[in-house]
Amino acid sequence: MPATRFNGFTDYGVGVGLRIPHYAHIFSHKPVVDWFEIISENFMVDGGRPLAILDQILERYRVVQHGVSMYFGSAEKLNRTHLRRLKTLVRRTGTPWLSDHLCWGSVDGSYSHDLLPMPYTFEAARLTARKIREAQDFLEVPIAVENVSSYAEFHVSEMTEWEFLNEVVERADCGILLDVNNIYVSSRNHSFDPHLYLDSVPANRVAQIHIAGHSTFEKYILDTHDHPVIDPVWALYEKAITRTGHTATLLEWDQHIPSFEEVHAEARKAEKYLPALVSA
Amino acid sequence: MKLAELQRRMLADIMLPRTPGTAGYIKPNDRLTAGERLEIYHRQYWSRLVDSLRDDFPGLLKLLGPRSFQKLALAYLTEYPSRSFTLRDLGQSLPGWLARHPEYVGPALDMVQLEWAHIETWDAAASQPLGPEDLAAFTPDLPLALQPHLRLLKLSYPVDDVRLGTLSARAVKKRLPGTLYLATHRVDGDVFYRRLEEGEFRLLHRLAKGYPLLRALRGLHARPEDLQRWFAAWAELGWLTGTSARSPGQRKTAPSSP
Ligand SMILES: [Fe+2]
Repeated sequence: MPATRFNGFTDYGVGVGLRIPHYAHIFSHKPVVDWFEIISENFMVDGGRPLAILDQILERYRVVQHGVSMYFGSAEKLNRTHLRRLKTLVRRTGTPWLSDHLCWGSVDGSYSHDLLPMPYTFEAARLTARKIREAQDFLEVPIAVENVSSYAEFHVSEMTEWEFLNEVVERADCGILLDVNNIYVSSRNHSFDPHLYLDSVPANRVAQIHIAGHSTFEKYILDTHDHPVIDPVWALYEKAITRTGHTATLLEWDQHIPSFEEVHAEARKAEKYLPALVSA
Repeated sequence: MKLAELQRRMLADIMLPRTPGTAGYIKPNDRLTAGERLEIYHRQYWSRLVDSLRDDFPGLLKLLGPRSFQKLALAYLTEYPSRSFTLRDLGQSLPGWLARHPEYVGPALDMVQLEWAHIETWDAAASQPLGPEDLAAFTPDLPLALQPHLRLLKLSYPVDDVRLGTLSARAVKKRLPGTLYLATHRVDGDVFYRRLEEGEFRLLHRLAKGYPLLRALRGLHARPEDLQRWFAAWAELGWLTGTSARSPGQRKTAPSSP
């Protein structure tokens, strides 16, 4: 959406993920990039090169934080140490909003380091929403939750994934990081209509959109972030944008990473779908 | 099934070192059984975690070879699943685990100590080093703090050379154990290893514990010319910092060996 409380009243355009193989190019060529998405966990350290690099990036670019380990959907309490370290980083980057996934991944302090799918139950929605609210209050920055790719469904589920997403974000009163590639991947793995999903997303809450590539196997699709975006995913993106209006968009490319120029060019294909911002 | 119970069962299945088999809580679809769907997550878990250990402990991989490394990683991670939100901490219990497994003592244990110190040195905090004027005004009864990214190691095999690629894994195994004193430290963001003299190591180790200099020197029988040389080197490397200058949020870490 154009400037709203879910994106910290910003109007960011197309960004790319900050990745180590691109550091040298970024520092030597200083490309014009609207914003970088960083993985928060990579910079939740006490010092050394990671923070030095981040500070150099912050001198020139706008940065948005994306997390992979908050696990709002895990039945255990939020990890306070983790939150405190995250807040230190939020203050450093000035991120206008912060995203993490609508998933679980830990039990009693043991971590899977994966984005595990939620059972779509009312109990899970209530707990997840409460944790998102708690984190948002503590971090003092708007939180957007991202739909994940999934490879399994549970017998206990009481609703569809998009109904669950609605249930959580309404209860938490938070934003959404809409990953259209994840919708596509899950729709193929669970045989649902991705357009029906998209039509059900509360468009006014979408703070950011992810686009990415994936890998197709014989019996399922894996969210690998190692390919260009395929046409059906661009079609979903186009449809999403017509519903949400101009929305901060980010291309994820995490494995077999090509040159910076190639990644940036792939990301900027999104610009042709983005409506121009109407200036006040 | 309640959320907590479902998650406990699924994570336990994912963390099994062998294929979990069936999973009654997962729905099959027209292409995959419940067990096959669970297996996707199971496989992802193990490949992600073993890859992470492989990236963090390349020297250990060199010493053991890929098959033994894989076996070790599976055994270690089964006993010590990750307890941290970040994979950076995945190897934190590996030195202790290895020390309790007699088949791995020797160069492998030394290598893991070095590689864990390397990880800690890489992203630890840094404090403002003492400049020449600070050192001139220094009195020996004041506690001297050491750079938070400095780690001190007492080893038996020259595993630093293996890690740096100047000695082969085969050659280090044939080496008779001696004593090697080593520091890992950081210069301009890069991690370096520096071999230390025994007296130098002992003195640094006491300073790291927070002893004031006079007490640290007690019983050390260091010659004045050695002290002068060591202090000059430490000052040049920026290892000496003001009194107990821990930066906020810094993890408390002790030197790895006495
Ligand atoms: Fe994503």
